[in-house]
Amino acid sequence: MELLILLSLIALGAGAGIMGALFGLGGGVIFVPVLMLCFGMAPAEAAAVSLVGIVAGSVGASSVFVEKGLANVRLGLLLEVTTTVGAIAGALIAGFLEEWILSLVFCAVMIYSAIRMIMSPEKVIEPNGNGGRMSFEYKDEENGENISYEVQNVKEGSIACVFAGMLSSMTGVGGGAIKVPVMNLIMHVPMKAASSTSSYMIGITAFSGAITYFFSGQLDLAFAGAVSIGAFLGAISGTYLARKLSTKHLRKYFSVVLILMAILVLLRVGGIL
Amino acid sequence: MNMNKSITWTLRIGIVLGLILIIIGEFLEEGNPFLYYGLLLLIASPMFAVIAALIGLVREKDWFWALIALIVLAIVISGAVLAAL
Repeated sequence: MELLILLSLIALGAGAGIMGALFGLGGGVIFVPVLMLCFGMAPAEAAAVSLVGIVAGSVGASSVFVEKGLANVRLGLLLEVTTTVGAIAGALIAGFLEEWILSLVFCAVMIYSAIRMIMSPEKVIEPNGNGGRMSFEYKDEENGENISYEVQNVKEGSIACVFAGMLSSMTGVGGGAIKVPVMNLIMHVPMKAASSTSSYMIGITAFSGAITYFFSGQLDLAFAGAVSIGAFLGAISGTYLARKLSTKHLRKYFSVVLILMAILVLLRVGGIL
Repeated sequence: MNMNKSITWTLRIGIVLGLILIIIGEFLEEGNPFLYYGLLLLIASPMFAVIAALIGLVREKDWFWALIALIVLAIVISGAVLAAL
């Protein structure tokens, strides 16, 4: 591979890795069009490389977030179950629905979540001291405080994740953009824990797709390798930024990214991308 | 070792070994086994981390969450097996 291409792929991976670690978003919305437009890849090839990049970024970020207690492994696994149920259901009914309608629904959810995150302050419920199954804590490195929280509305959040899984399997856009708002707005998980938990989850979700492409021989190994190196480096820098950033700022930046993502999806629906 | 530590180390070993193989593979000629096995190891890391979580939760006798981890593992492994067939 030419050195210039190798370095561009590493840079692309790094950008996506930072996004994944900071916001819990896989970055497929950016990855896939860039790989297609700038590197001339076919949609399936681009999706395959993108999934491997997402796994690399998620593994890099989780190796820090899980140790620091920011990524909530238990909650992540629970929502992984409901998201997968949704994804399977989505794959089964996708043929009966128009993709552009689903994409518009996806955009509407993203924009609504972004507006709510900008308008309403974060609400975290302190555990009542009973040491319940849904009580967790982590240390916020921005100010050194221990943050305790009790996950609320577990049923509603799990059902919302079923829809997140359905939408993402039907539109091909990752579920992080919905899962983070679900955790933060419905389940009242602090933003830093929500985005870190999502970073952890997207690796498990992307694994299934990545391994399918890997064994089917549709994965360009050299491209995937280069993107993975970048995604790992980006993820490690992203975890550093995420730990130092204040929750308020993280929420605000996340909302802006959600709106940008919605615009990208709209451009795709309109046939411009 | 607690659950978070064992997950962390599983992920670290997976990504570091995977990336070392990938970097070697990138500089050798096409079709070398380093890239293939490096990527396979890296892609499989999240699955190994779920196994580490399951073992950790069983050792902590945290049965509710161990069941959830087992379900995730079943989903993930059945997906991988279907892909390999």
